[in-house]
Amino acid sequence: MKVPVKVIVNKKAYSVEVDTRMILADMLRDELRLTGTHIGCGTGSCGACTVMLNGRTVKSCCILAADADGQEIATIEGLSTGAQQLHPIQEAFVENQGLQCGYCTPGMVLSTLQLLNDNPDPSEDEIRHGISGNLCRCTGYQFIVKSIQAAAKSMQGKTDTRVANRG
Amino acid sequence: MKYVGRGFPGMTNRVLVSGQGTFTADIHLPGICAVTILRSPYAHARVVAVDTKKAEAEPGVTAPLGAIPAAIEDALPHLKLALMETPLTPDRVWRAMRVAQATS
Repeated sequence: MKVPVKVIVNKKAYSVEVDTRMILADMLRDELRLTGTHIGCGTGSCGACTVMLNGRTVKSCCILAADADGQEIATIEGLSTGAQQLHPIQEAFVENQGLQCGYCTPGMVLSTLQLLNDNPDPSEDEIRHGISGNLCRCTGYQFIVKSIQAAAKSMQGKTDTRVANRG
Repeated sequence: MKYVGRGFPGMTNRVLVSGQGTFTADIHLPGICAVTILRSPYAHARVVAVDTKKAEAEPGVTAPLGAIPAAIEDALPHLKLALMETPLTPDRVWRAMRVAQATS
C-alpha cells in the first residue's frame, strides 16, 4: 500500500508516495536521489545511514518513511553547499584523514555534529562514546577521533546553526 | 624529497566527506533492476523447489529467479556455459563449468 509523505529535507520541501514498508534511508536514496546517506547493515548497527530528524541523529534504516511524514530531515548534503564549501567538521575530517573509503563518513560527520552541539568540548572518551553507533572498517578510529578533536577546536564551542537543532 | 615520508590528505576526501561520492549502490541507470537474494536457512541443503508465486504477484517484480541463470550466463560468456538446471546451486554452476571445459 502506498501512502503520501511530505517532508522537508535540507530545508527543501518534498512530496512523495511511498510503500508503507519503505524505510527512510531508501526514500532518501531512491525517491529523493540523495545518495550521500548510505546503507551499511540495514539493522541499526553500523550508523552509515545516520541523518538528522528534527535536529537529532537517527538511523534512517530503522525508521519508516511513512513515519517521517511532516518532519524535518537533514542529510550530509545539507551540511555543505558542495565539495569546496565544507562545514568545519568536514574540513577537519579532510585535513586529519578521518576517512579512507568514505562509506561511513556521512554518518560519522552527522554524529559528530550531534556530539559537538551537545558537548562542544568533549574528552577523548566522550568522543569515542559519541561515535559508538558508527562503525568504520578502514581507519581504526584513531584519525576519526583526531578529526573530531580538531573540529571541536575549530568550532570553538559555537553551536552549529546550519542544521535545525530543536533538541 | 618533497613527498617521501610525509602525509597528504586523500585526493577524494572532499568529495566523500560531503556525500558526493559515487559508490556502486548510488549508480542509477534507466531501467535498472534491484536483486534480492533469499538464502536457505540450512547449510549444505539441496534446494528442491522455490515457490515464487507470492514474489511474482508483488508490483514491480520483473523476474523472480528465472532471469538469474541467464544473467550469469551473460556475464560469463567466455566460460561457454550451457543452459543450467534451476534452482541454481554452486554445485550446478561448477558442474556446468567443468562440462564446458571438457568439451571445449
